[in-house]
Amino acid sequence: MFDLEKAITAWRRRLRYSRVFLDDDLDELEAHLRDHVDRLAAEGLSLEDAFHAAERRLGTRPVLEAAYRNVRWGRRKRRRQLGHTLTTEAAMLKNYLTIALRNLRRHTGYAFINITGLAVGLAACLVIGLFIQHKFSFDRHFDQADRIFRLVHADTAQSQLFGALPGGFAPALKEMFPEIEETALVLSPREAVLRVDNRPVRVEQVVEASPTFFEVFSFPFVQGNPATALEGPNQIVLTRSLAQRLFGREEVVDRSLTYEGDTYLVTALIEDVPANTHFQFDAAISFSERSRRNWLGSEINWRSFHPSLYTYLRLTDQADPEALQASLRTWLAATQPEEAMLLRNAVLTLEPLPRIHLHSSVAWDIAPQSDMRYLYLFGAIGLLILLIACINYMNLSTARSVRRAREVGLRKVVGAGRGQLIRQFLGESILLSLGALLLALGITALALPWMSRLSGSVLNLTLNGTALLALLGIVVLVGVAAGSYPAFLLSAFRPTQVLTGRSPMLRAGGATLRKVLVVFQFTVSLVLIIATLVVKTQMDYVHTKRLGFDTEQVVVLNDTRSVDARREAFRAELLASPRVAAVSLYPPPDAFTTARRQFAHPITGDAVAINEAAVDYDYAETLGFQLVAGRFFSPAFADSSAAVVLNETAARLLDLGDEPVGKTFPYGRGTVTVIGVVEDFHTTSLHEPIEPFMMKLAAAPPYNTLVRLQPGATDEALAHLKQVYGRFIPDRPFDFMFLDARLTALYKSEQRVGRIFGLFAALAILIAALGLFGLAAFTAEQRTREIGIRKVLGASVSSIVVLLSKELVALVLAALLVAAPVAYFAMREWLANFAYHVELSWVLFAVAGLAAVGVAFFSVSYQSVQAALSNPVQALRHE
Amino acid sequence: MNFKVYPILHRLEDEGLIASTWRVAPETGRRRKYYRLTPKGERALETERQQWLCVDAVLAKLWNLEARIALG
Repeated sequence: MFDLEKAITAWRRRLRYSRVFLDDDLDELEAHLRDHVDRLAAEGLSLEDAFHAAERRLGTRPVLEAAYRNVRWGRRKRRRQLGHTLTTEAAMLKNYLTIALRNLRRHTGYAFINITGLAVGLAACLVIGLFIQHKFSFDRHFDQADRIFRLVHADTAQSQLFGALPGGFAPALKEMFPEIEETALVLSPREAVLRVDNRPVRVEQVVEASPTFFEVFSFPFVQGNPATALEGPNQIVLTRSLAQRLFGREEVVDRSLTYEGDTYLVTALIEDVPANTHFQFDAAISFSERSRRNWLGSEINWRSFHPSLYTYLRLTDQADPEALQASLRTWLAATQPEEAMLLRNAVLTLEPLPRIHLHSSVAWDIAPQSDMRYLYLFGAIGLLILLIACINYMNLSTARSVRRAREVGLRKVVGAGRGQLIRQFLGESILLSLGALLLALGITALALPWMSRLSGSVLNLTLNGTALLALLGIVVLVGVAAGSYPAFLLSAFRPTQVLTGRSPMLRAGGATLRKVLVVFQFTVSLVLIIATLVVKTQMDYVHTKRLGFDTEQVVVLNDTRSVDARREAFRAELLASPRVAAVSLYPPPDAFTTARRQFAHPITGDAVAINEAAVDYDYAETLGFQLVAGRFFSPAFADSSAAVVLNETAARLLDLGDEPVGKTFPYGRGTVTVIGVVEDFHTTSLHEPIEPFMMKLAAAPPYNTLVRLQPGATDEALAHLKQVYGRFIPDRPFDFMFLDARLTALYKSEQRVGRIFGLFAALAILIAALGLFGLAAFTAEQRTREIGIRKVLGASVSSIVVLLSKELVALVLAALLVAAPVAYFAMREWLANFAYHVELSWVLFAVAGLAAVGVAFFSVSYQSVQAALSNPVQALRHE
Repeated sequence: MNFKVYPILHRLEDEGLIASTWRVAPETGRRRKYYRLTPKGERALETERQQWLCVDAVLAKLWNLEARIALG
C-alpha cells in the first residue's frame, strides 16, 4: 500500500543530501508538492500516481539543485565577505587610532599649534555668531511681535526720521482704523529718585506708559494683572531687582512709594526687562498729571508734540501693514491743518517691532540702537578669521602629511587598498577637527563674560540645533578639506617610489596652493591691522582735537533747577573752595537741546538757522572759550539782552564781514548787537560739522551747573561740590559727570568697534603667525640635510637664516601689496562718516606692514636659527 | 505552476524587494509561505513599470512611424 507521508519523507531526504537547500526551502517545496498532489488526487488520480506526477512536475534533483545553487551561492558569498570586512575593519580601526595617537604624541608641538589655531578661530567665529544672534533676537520674544509696530514720522523738509508723535494720534487712529487692535504710548525712560519711607533711591530708568502698555508688550508678570497695572493715575510697576533694591523683598504689591512729591501705589511686579529689548526700564508708572495735561489728549495737535513720546500699534492678525501705512499717509495729508507750522510735511511710517533695534534711525530714539552695518562687518570678520584658521589647519596638515608617505607606502605593501587609506586619513583629520571644536566651545565659554563687557551686550552660550549643526558641518568640512590632500594624493603614490625615497611629488606637495593660502591669510590680517590703526588714530584725533572749549577739569552737576531762587548763594558756596576756579549755572552748548532759531540773512533775506544758548557772565571762563574778537558778557558793561556773542560759524553764516563786533541784525521784533566772537566749538560728535551758535544772557532756571576745577586735587574738590550740592538739593543724590566723559560717550560705538577690531586683528595675526611658525618648522626639517651640507661647505648661520626665511617673508610682503589698496578704500569709506577726520597716511600702512613682516620673521626665524645652529654631522646622519 | 518561481522569489528576498512570512492556510490547514512587496520593492516595481512604459511608448511611436512611412 502506498504511504504518502513515507514517500514525501524519502523525497525530502534525497534532496537534503545536497547542501544547496535550507530546511526552509524544503518546507516550501514540500508544501508546493502536497498542494499539487491534493489537486491531482481531486481530479481522480490515485495518491501514488498523483505523487509521482507531482514530483516529476516539480523537477528532478539535479535541475532543482542547479536552480537553487545560484541563489545560495550569492547569499553565502555575500555573508562571508561582509563578516570578513567587518572583522578587518574593526582591527584596522584600532590600528588607525593607535597610529593617529602615536603621531599626535610624537609631534605634540605641531598638533598643539594645529588644533589650538583652529580652536581659537572657531571660538572667535562662535563669539561673533553669538553676538549677532543676540542682536537678531531683539524684541522677538514679545507675543505677536510681528504684529506690533512703532509709528514714526519723517520730516520731508529735513529728511530726518523722528520716533515721536503727538499723543493724540493713538486714540484717534484706533478709532478710525479697525486694523489697529490696540495702541500703547510710552515716554522715554528717565532718571528718577523714588522714596520709600523717606529714603531716596536713585533709579536709572523710569518710563511713563499708557494703561495698555503691558497689554501690547507681554512682559512676564510675577504678581499683578497686566490689564489693570497702569489703569489709574499714580500707579507703578516694578521690576524684580528694583523691588529688591527699594523694599528688600518681592512682596511689594499694594505698597506705596513717593515720586516727585506724589504717592504711587505698586500694582505689579514683573521680571527684569531682558537685555534684548529695544528700550530698558526699571519701573513703569502711569502718566503723570502733567504729562496727561500737556502731551496726551484726544485730538491731534502738533503743538502738544513731545520729542520722546512714542506710539506703538498692535494690528489685528488680518491687517496688512503696507496697506495701513498707505492709508495712514493719505489720511494725514488730507486732515493736517494748514496752520500747523510744525512738521507740516510729516510722512507716517510703520516700523516693525523686531526691526527697530537694527534698522531704525530715528532722531532722539528711546534708547541707542544698533547698526546693521556693524553686524555685517563683524560677521565678515568672523568668517574671515574662521577662514584663516581653517586654511592654517589645512596647510599644516597637508605639510605634515608628506612625512607619512612612508607609512602609506608600507600600508600599501602589506595590502591596504586606496579606499582604506582615504578613509584612514579623512577619519583622522575629522577626529582632530572635532577635538578642536570641543576646545573652541571651552574657549568660548571662558571668553563670553569678557566679550559681553567689551561689546556692551549680554551674551550666553546657548546654541540652537541649527547653529550646532552648522558648526559641526563646518568642522567636518574643514576636517575633510585638511585630510583630503593626504587622503587622495598620498594614497596614489607608488609604494616602491616612496619607500626608496625617490618621490618627485614629495617636495612639491601642494606648495603653490600653500603659498597662495599664506598670502591670503596675511592679507586678511593686514587689512584688520590697518583698520585698527586707522580707527585708533581717528579716536586719538577725536579726543585730542581742540573742541573750541576745555573739557578737562569741568564738572557738570545734573539737575540743579531747584536752586533757582538761591542761585547766587549756591554759586558763592561752590566758589568758596580754592579748588573751584569758575562756576556757570548753564549747561554746556549742545545742538540737540538748545533752541534753533531762524534768522533772516541781512543781505539776501534767506533763512539762516542758528542755535541759541542761554548763558551767564562766567560761562566763557568756565568752559574756556577763546575770544576771536570783541569781549564776552561782563557785569562791568551792564549788557542788556540785546547783546549777543557768536561763534565764528554763526558770524560767517550771517555774513557779518571782517569786523563783526558792533554789527546788528534783526532778532524777533527788535535787533541785537554783536559784542564778541568766540572760536568755533564742536557741540556734537565730530561726525557732524560745526553748528552755528549764538549766546545771550538769560535768566532761565539753571538746569545743569558747570564747575571748572583747578588742576590737581580732584577728589578734594569733588568732596566740596558734594557737600554744597547736598546742602542745597537735599532730596537728590549727588549727581555729576566730567564733561570729557560726557563727550567720550558720543563715540561709544566707534570705540567699541575699535576695541573689537583690535582684538580680532590680534587674533587673526596670532593664528596666521602660528601657521607660519608651523610651516617654517616643516620647511626647516625637510631641508635638514641640505642645511647640513651647506654648513659643511662653509655657509654662515646668517646666510642659512636668510635662506630659510626669505621665501615666507616675501609672501608676507606680497600680502601687503594686496591688503594696502583694500584697506585704503575701506577705511576711506569709514572716515567719511566723520565731518572732521585724520588723513590716511602711508605711515599707517608702513607700520602695519612692518608689524606683519616682523611677526612673520619672528615666527620663521626661531626655526631657521635652530636649524642653522644645529650640528651638521647629525643633520647628515638624519634619516 | 512550476518550482522555478521559488529561486526567483528568494533572490528578490535577498535583494530586500520582498519579504516572506510562514502562515497557516485556512482551507488546507497547512503551512504556507506568503510573500509581499517591501517599500523598496514597490519603488523598484514602479521604476520597472516606468521603464517598461517608456520602452512601450517608444516602440509604439516607432510602429506609427513605420506605418506612416509605409503609407507615405
